[in-house]
Amino acid sequence: MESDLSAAHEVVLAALFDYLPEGPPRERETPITDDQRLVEDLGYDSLAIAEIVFFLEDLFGVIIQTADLKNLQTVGDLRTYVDGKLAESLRPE
Amino acid sequence: MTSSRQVGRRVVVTGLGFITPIGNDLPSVSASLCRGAHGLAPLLFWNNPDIPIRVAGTVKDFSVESIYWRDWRWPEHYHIPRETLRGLAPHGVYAFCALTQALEHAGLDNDRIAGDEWTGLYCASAGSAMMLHENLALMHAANGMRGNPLGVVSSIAGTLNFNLAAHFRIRGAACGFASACTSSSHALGYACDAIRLGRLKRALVVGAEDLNGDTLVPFAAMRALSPAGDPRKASRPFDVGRDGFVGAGGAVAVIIEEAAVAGARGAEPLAEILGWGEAADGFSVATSHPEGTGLQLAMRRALADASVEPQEVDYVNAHATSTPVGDRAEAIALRQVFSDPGAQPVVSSTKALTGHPLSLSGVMEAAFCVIAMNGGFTPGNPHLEKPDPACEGLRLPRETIATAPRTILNNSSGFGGSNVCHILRSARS
Repeated sequence: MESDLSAAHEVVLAALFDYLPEGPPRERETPITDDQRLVEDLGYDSLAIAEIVFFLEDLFGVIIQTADLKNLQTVGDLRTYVDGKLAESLRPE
Repeated sequence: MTSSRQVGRRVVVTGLGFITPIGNDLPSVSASLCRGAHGLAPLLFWNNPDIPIRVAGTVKDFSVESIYWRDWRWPEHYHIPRETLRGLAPHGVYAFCALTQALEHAGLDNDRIAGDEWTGLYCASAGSAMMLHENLALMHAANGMRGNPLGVVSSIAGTLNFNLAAHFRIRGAACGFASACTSSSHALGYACDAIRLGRLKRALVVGAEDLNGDTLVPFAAMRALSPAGDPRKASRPFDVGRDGFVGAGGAVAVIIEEAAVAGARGAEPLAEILGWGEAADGFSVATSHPEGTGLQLAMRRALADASVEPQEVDYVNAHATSTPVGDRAEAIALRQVFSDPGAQPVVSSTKALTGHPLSLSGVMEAAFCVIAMNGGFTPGNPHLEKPDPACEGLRLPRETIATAPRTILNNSSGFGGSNVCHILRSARS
């Protein structure tokens, strides 16, 4: 289970990189860290966040509620949230 | 309509951009127009050779067949950032490239446009039937629980203006027109009025259409398309043997400015738009009035708006799409409007070369008129073999004429009996 979540972290990071807007407010070469804010630091808009959510839902087979999105302020928030969703989906019935 | 003679503000064209079946830049489009070289090519839709569409006005050097932007390819010298690309339809990619060209041609860099409260955007497309259909299919498959977040803005009518306005940071106005094959003619006309009324100083006018089965095959169901496989037979406006139009895709952008504003920044005017007119047939949802009554009225209104007499018109870029009913109606309308002695303009339809790109037609053909004025030639009717008897008395040369028209009438007609005409005059005179 731990190795699954570790791989998921990498996938979430890769998705964030892939949907990263061009240009300011951030240089693309700078590493993405857990404390960075999705909108203010990385420059995502609400549509880009919706695209990332759409991608992660498809990839992991989970449903991310719209009401939860407002709590996903940072990269760390998103990774923790995805971890929780994956743990739920992997938990034995 | 507000006459430029009345309010004193003149409107000039300062930039053109092309992604069309006959070329993806001004020099190649000009060469194709002058040589009478068509841009039609064989095309198979939905892998079904029985669909009665054999050729279309194809866009070269682009690959936008997929609904996924990651699959798309376009000429690499255009940089489309992913946050713009994500919301585009296929024709939005064409339009981005055409508008980039037109701004460069006009000598306007993006910084001059971005945030300027006096620059507006006037667009025309039918939206993307393919994106709408495929995105809805995905949502239906998920029983409404999931969908592409950019599905709406990449597909519905208005997708062009949404995306281009966001990318180019347009502040003056952002709007779209949906009057079928007169859409971009309306866009150009109303953009002119915005400048004449002093509401804007500059407008970016963009028309574009997808070329794919979802856009075109429904017209086969209307029996509006030519089934011919030989491009010279398939698109032959005004010919007695014509049997329907040939579909096309692409994008054209035209930059217009208040003459004084263009002059102040040292821009060279390519042409002046003297006026325009519109009128409706009040007759049918899809076919022209048999005598082109709405088109006649639109032409007369355009001439009056421009303070131009029929005798002054050197060239008419006809709407004629190669359909039996539409071309005949336009021929009759032209004979009525140009009935006075001395009113003998050359008439041609450049759709013989391009096919019919629907909403894109009007602004594309206005741009062709500007090319002809500045290129020193008048386009002919290279696919015309035997004119329809309804054209008797019209000057329909087959070959290009090596004379630049000074004053041009540009016609467009569309579903619902919509008719729009522009009057352009050479800036060289």
